[in-house]
Amino acid sequence: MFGCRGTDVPDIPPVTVCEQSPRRWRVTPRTALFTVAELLGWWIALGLLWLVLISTVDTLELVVGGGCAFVAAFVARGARRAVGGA
Amino acid sequence: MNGWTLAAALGLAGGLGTALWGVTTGPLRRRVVAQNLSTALACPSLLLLSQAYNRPSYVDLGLVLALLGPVGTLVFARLLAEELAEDPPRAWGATLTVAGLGAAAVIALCVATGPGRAMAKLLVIGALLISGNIIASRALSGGFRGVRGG
Repeated sequence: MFGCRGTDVPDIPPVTVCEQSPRRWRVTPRTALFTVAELLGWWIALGLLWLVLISTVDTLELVVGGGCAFVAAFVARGARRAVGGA
Repeated sequence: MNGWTLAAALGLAGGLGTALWGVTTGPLRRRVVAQNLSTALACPSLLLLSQAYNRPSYVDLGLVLALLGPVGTLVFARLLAEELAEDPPRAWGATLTVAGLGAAAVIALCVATGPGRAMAKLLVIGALLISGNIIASRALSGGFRGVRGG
């Protein structure tokens, strides 16, 4: 079903070896809380960086900056996990 | 001709000119260090010119240079890794001096700008420039021991 293959070894009944992707990281409320907190932290930090780098602050700039910082928060979290492990 | 343009002229003509001479002549060891320092000298010069001509858009040029200059040095460090491993450059004196000059320029500009978002932007650019300079220098002179492979 999930890529299981059978091994035929004579003398003993065939054993089915299932190759599933190793899932050492399970979604628990604790990890979900850490994930949300990290994304929020990245969003705030990148949003502040946006506010520092633009010239005039008005509503459109805030909306665009918030959206870009939101997307970039996911990218930053992915980069951190790629560099340092999950 | 005011103090800002004088400082920028010294940085560009004196500093960047010397760095260009260092890039074009000499052993590989000196050339890669000069390439690294050329960015660290050009970026504060652009910031000083922004204050001299009262054009805030030049600060964005300095920001782009502070981001892309160390990346360029890292590209050279990666491409020339074998040659640099045989004869690694050791130029921490020049690197720290130029980093100090950049910090002095950023501090002087912050004082002239006054507190506000513009000063925060200058501080961010200064931090990016100096940290990028130090990281690129470390990559040139031996690399990061924990990172291996392509």
